[in-house]
Amino acid sequence: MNVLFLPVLAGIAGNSYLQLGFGVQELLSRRNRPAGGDIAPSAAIFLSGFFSWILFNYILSPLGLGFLEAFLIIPVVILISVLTERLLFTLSRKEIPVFSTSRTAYDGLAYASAFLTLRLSSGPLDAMAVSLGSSVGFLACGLMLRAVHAHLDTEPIPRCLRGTPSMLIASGLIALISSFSAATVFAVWGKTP
Amino acid sequence: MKIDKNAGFFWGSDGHLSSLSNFVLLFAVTSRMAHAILISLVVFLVFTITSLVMKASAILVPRRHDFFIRVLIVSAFTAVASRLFSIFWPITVRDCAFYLGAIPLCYLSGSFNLRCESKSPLAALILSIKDTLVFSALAFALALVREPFGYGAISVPGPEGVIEFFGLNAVTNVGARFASAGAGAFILIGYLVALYRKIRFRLYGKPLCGENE
Repeated sequence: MNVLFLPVLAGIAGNSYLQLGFGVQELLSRRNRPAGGDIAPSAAIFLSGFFSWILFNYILSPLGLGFLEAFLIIPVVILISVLTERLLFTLSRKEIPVFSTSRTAYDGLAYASAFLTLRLSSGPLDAMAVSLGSSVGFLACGLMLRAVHAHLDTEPIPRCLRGTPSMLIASGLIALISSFSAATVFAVWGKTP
Repeated sequence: MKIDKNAGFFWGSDGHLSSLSNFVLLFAVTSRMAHAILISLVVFLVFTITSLVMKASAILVPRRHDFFIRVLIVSAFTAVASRLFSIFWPITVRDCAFYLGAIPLCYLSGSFNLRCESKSPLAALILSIKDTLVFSALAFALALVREPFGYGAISVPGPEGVIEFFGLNAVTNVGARFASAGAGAFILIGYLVALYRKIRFRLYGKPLCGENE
């Protein structure tokens, strides 16, 4: 039951973008790019969450080095993000795009996933569920924001609101809906996050 | 069109409201003034010390590994600063732990550290002080709007959690309290960016919706 609950918690109630504010530069800057561009960040979000949990729980904690988490979490997620991107682009035989934000762990999205996984998981299966929830949550946000942007482009809105401000306001409204959706899901489920 | 002199810090393309480089901190910690104070102090310490150390050790650091050394240095200073402040304000530091961890990413994602590269250590130090002061002013301004609506008070960090001042019991409206939630932050910052663009256009003649904005 927990394995089903955790992805919903990480994907909706703890969505890295909508609820925690990470990834604004990543998501808003890719509004004009093809949907395929979300594969590398979503893979990095998943792998950062899962492998950080493995590293801190199975390698550093048994060695008594768990206290290093605050210092090592950022270097670890950046390393995983950069390596994931390189691997995916090498496999697909494409050049890494110049606008890539992998060096900032996809504007913190991978960090948020790793942090949530470390706090919410009590086993490797939980870790996988939370990381997967974060990754799917990011993909859903990317799709929604792309659709919103396509509509906003054709609407007669003031020039000063075009682009980032209108996307932020739209994100706020989506965040509000997602909060209420999460609360409803948890109420039906009979669980409190 | 007016001359764009001194537009670098706030009104330039590197400004906090143009590039949204520290958005996550403005989004998260401005729901409480106590959190904004803590994060501003840590950002001030980490950004200034890191830029100074990076400048001073520029000869020793191989260019090829420059980025990862910068990551390690900024992460180490953030961890030390968090530990230092947890002596005085343990509960506030614990509440902000998630966003304290994001400070190195804000340092790396901003163009601030790149601008420091071409400058002398003293100039880099002054630049980092100015940059962090601008960020702090923005964070305090947002917290002054969000916290009274959300919590009906203004708070400062204390040894036993937050200390609240000016309790406003009048703010009981759920709609008003929404300003302190994440959704409210998105909308508030969205309108703030629009206002910023309007003023920037009046002052410097920059386009209302520039490229990549």
